[in-house]
Amino acid sequence: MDDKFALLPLSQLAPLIRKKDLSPVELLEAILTRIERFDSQLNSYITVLADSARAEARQAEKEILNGHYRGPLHGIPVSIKDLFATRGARTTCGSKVLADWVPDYDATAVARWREAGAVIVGKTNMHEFAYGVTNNNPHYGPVRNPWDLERVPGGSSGGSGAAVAASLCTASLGSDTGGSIRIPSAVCGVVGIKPTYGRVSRYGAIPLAWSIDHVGPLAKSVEDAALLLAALAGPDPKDTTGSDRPVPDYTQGLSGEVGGVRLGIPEQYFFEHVDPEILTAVQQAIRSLEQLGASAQPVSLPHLENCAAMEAHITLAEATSYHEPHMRTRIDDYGDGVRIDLEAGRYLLATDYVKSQRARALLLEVFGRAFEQVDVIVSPTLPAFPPLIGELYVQSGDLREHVIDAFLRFSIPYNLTGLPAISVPCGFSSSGLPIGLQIAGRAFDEPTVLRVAHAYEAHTEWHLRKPSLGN
Amino acid sequence: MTPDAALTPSIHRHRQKPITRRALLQGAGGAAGLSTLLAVSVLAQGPQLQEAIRQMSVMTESALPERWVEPTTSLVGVILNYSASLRALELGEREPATLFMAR
Repeated sequence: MDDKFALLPLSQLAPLIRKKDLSPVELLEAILTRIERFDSQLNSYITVLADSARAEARQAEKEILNGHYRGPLHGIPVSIKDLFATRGARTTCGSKVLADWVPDYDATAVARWREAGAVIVGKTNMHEFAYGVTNNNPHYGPVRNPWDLERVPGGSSGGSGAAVAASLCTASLGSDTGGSIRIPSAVCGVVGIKPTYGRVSRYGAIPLAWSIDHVGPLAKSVEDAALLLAALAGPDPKDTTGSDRPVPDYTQGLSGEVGGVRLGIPEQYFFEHVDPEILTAVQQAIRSLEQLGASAQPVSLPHLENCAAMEAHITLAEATSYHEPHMRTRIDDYGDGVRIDLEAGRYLLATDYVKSQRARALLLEVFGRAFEQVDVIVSPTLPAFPPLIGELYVQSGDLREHVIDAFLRFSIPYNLTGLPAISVPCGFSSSGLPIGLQIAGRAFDEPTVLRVAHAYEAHTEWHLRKPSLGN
Repeated sequence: MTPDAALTPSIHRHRQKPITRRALLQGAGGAAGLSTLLAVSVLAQGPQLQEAIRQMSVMTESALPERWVEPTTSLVGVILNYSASLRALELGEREPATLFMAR
């Protein structure tokens, strides 16, 4: 089997599979071979489901040969962050607490990809209980960044980001409470979209904080992300916060054109304390979009300085509430960092939690006013490059700060507002580390977010670069 | 002295070099490492808060083991510090979004 197929995006694999020019079985074997060769370096998987994946690939092949082609995900090898319940497959959430949990049901997002014909290769490594951004997992070991094995891949969906970047799967399912899809996407040089709150069901995803948890794909291209999101989106009676709005065709607007689109460039917050190389790359990306016909204008986004406090009160209160039963019986099985967070969640004030929830309404007004003037808001995904594994601090331009402060800073506003946001590759540092461009839109306007990201991607080649893993 | 007044010196330090709760979460070496990390800036405010947290076991129905008092107190203290702006925020009649929906 030619390894080149394992490197292709979904959008190029799907036509080959549909025309029977490529067997899902052969494609899976190419992916499994790469996992065997490279994952000892990356540690991106907690569980590889080789046997069940082979059975699913054979079933896909049989269906396609019999003329029953389900659509673009049919026969595509995907991975699942180990936070999503998978029927019959261990689901650890990166923890010792759930190390032996084998669910008897699928999360809705997993079920939808299965229904679309995807082949589930395995469960990816993650920050313990999704409670962090480095993926330095005390129970399953750190995930390594495919672009620099000494550095973190971002998180909490770090295994997913690393696996997609290294072509150890074609795409991956992630979750995003403070940036956990977009952060590893930016750090690993792939595309990740956090859709609008309510667009994708959270049922079967082990929560970190219910009211800001989101589910979405990590992919090799914007078109792939659109196809993967289309298979996930839509109402689910098992998720009471789900929206029943019709799901649009996310690929329809992917024309490469952005003429007339108004880009909002934040006057505050999003361009403060940013690494100069990241700043240059993002400014160049904005100029590129302007050259393609978009117009850029400043937008005012006050009050975002409260996001960190709001995120803290909401996440700690909700996470501790969820974990209380395990805290009573398994407290010593939590890693130190997560344990401190969970313990602290008992000692914060309910009034601060409620105020944080009330302040989300204010943030929605702030972004609502901005989106009266512009169609999308553009910024860096991250202000700094990933640290070496074990290092705590990064340099965000003129500010030396903790990695988690840095990595959450630009992504958390869109968790608190529930607005859709994508990270797309927009350059590399002089030392070869990827840079992410964040594009956010109005509620449920994923089509415009995807359209702008796709137009940028179509006129650049950053997403085509592959990390060198040797051999 | 009110809790907010007790925290004021730390707030000024954080404005110069922000240390948020996240600085605590992934500190190398767990609780001991965290204590070292925060020894200067946050733990200075600690005794009152530590005592308050110990006494809150009456409310939480779960006594915090002594080993975890210091790092937990530090984290709570940091969050209180940078909640000052949030607490001062005037929200008028805005209601909480406890069952948040973006639609």
